[in-house]
Amino acid sequence: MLEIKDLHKFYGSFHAVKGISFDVQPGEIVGFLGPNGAGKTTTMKIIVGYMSMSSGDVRVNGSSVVDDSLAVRECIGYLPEHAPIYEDMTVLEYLSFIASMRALKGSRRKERIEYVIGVCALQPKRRASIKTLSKGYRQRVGLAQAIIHEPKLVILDEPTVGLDPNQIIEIRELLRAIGEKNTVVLSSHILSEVEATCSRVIIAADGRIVAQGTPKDLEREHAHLLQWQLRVRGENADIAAALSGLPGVIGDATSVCSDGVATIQFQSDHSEGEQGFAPGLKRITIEGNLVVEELRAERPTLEDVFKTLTAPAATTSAAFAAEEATLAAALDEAPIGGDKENQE
Amino acid sequence: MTRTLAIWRKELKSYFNSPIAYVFMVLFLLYAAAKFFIWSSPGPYGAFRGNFFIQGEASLTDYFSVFPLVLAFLVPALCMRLWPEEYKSGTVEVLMTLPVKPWQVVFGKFFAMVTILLFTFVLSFSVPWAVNLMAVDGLDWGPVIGGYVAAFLMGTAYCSIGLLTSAFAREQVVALLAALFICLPLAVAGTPDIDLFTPTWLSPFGKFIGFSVRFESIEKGVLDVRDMLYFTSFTGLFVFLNIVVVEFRRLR
Repeated sequence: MLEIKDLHKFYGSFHAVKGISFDVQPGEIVGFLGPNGAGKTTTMKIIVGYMSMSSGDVRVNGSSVVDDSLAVRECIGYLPEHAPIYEDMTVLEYLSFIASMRALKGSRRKERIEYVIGVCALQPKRRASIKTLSKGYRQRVGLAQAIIHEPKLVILDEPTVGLDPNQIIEIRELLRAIGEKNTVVLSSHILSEVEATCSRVIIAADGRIVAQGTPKDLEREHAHLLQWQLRVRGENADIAAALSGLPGVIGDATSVCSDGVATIQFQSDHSEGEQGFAPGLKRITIEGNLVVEELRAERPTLEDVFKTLTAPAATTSAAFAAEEATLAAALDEAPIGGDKENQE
Repeated sequence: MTRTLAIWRKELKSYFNSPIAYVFMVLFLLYAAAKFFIWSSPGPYGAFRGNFFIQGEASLTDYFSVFPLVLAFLVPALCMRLWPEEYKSGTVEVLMTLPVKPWQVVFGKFFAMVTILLFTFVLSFSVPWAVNLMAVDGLDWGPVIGGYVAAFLMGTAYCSIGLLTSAFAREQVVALLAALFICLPLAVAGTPDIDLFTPTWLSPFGKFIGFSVRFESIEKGVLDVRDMLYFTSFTGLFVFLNIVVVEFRRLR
């Protein structure tokens, strides 16, 4: 449905998108995540043919967005950031305008306009002037506009930004409804939203993709972020002895005891599983003669994954630094790339 | 064609949903009529001519003579929001990602402006009609038809200028000033008053590009192909440039 290969975009000398590649299969709802300035909006603008790319290849349904822009635009529905709509029109006028621009005719035109008004819950506001609408309604008009022609691919740039929690839930349900029939790519920096609606997540930072997979996959892959919190009671000496044998303890296990109670945090690799952790626990409780008062697992949320991946340090991991070095060399800026490599 | 028509309808709706179209029409009609019936219309070289009643002549030459300058002021104001508004509100992003070719958008906008202009001219017909009622022998309709043909050709040329400068500008005011900067010199170039102060070597050029000169020649009933061709090719060139600008601004 959507193939992006090695996409680069320069704004003047600023390298905004540094080689993004990903595919989207029909029927997927893909969340495009990243902090501000990660290149999400730029990538989306290139997909919909609003912006030119510096290099790379973007294909929608097999057609290149550069050579076959019109064909691509016909099968894409696009909601830009902040849902720009003509303020001086009514909802119905606006949707009729878009329907005409999408060359919808006759009974199908009526049917589609009524369908999007229904699905986006715009019925009470159909004759209202758009400038009188709340942000939530505007966003829904923007969504209605994007899906009116049953596009194969729907591109939504931050569809829930600036909405209150109730509106976010409404839009989220709407997105799920849209996703049943269409392929959707939506960008966001709100993680819970992506977790709730998307079948796949692509995380970008600093113009590159740093991770992708289902929300569950990403959590599993980053299971080393799983933290255990354990509180035990016993003799101070026993505690120190037992806990020092435990792998992955955060901080010094021997210094957390006081009055026979110790609270420690430790990380456990998820590959061993929670069961694999049981022998360790048994050793503590039975052999170490300690009483477990509390044991709590703190699973990594997508938020933790996101934070780790998009933190500045993460983006200069070895692979990226190497890539950057080659790129810098190509740009005849070898010293900068070299410096970064040295920092590793 | 459907898409050009959709844009045309959208623009007209937006102009008639806002005061702009009405202000344009009222100002134009009031000014032209007041100048004709109440104030005196000075002839070439500041010669006194008096208003319609003082002259006592069933001629609309003086009525049409204010068109070039008034339209040169008002049409840029009418057209200035066409593109900057789209860029400012971000709607251009939706518009240009619809399956539409730049020329369809430009034509839609251009014909919307021409439509408002035509509508204004239709309303302005009340003046010839009133003169016809007052005139003892009735009105000679030839020059009136000539006047409207000339006004239409010149008006579309002004629209094409206003449309082009608005496509360049990010701010409405910039579009307005740039359009005035082009329209006003064109409106007055080659007229007797300006020609007096034009260097001799520049004078033929002024008469060639001047809108008023060509407007008056058509309005007098001299349907010279060169004058008509001048206006239509001028309009064509500016609309074409507009399409080029829109295409280039899309793919930054």
